[in-house]
Amino acid sequence: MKPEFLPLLSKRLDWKVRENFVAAYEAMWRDLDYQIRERKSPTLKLMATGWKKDRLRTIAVLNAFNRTVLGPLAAAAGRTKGTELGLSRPIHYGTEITISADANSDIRAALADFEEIRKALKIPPKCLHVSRMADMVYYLNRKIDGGF
Amino acid sequence: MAASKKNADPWLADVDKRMRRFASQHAKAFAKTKREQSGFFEIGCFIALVEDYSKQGFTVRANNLAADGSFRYLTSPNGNPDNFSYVTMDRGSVVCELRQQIRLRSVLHPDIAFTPDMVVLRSGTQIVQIKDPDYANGKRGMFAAPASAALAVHECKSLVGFPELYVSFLGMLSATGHPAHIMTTSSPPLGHLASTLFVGGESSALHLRMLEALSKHFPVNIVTGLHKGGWVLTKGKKPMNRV
Repeated sequence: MKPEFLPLLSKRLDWKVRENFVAAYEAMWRDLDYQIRERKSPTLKLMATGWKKDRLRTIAVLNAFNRTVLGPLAAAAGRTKGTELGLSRPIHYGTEITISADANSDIRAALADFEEIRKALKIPPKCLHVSRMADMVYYLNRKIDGGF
Repeated sequence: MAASKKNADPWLADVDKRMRRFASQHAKAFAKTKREQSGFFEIGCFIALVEDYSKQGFTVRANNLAADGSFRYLTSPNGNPDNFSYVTMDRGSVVCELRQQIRLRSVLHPDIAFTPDMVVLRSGTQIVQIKDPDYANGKRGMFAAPASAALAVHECKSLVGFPELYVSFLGMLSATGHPAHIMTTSSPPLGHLASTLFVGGESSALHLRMLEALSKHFPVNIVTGLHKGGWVLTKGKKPMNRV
């Protein structure tokens, strides 16, 4: 099953970005199917605690969105302190990008809201940065075992 | 919300509700083109580098600014560097310039020329414009600086790293023909961050071991996981290579 919010999220994306986004979560979904098929114990252990397949597929989508859509923007626009360059002194990258505290307030708001969603859903932070389902399963198991 | 009712799992219904709201509220902020994304990432690397020089005690100054004081970032080697901004860093007798999209001409052969995303040049390095019949039909000049003047060469990749990407960065450094870019010397470092490959995605434990081994054998740094934002290059567990 695909997460219900997925069409709404991906229809806003530029097609090249969407291609990367889809490739990223589909790779994780394949990895998850493989782990279930091969009866990998960390995955089975996690699923036995209530983190069923649909939930893991949903976290994979959030992970892919974070890595392929928000991550590159966070690099320059998520900053609030440090050198004046890109904060009080705008950086113009051609005509299409301006990096400054004012120009990127909408991106910072999106990053902050996404972080709030992660916290509310009790997803360990590293789960949204790893590129393999096995690593995501590892961090979720660690959380369940009281590692966080 | 109707869609949420379909989910028997309350956690899934909660994700759906939150992400629908997120998509509606923030689409304009996150829906960027691939080129814009790459631009944001490259500027993130650029700022991290500038911050690193400040932390190393260099005085950092932006030059050749626009009339309104903003920084004009050179986005392509086709642009005339004289029309764009750059940063100078100085600490005592060490003075250098951080520039973007400057083509380097190899020490090995003048026909070997390529453009790293960022390069730290000795201050006052001439960026020469030469017309070449095989470049833009000889109508426009090709700008390039000698690779021998490059103190460090930096490349930014907004993707998940992989071994072949890491070693291809060594190939780029090797092609400069400047021994200092690829061979560790006994000279005391002057504080410059050694040539660095900035990678957006996280690395697996296996890749991190490879990166550590590479940085032991070559005067380079390969920094991964930069998509997480909040970059502080010197905060890591191990010190960065410096030249």
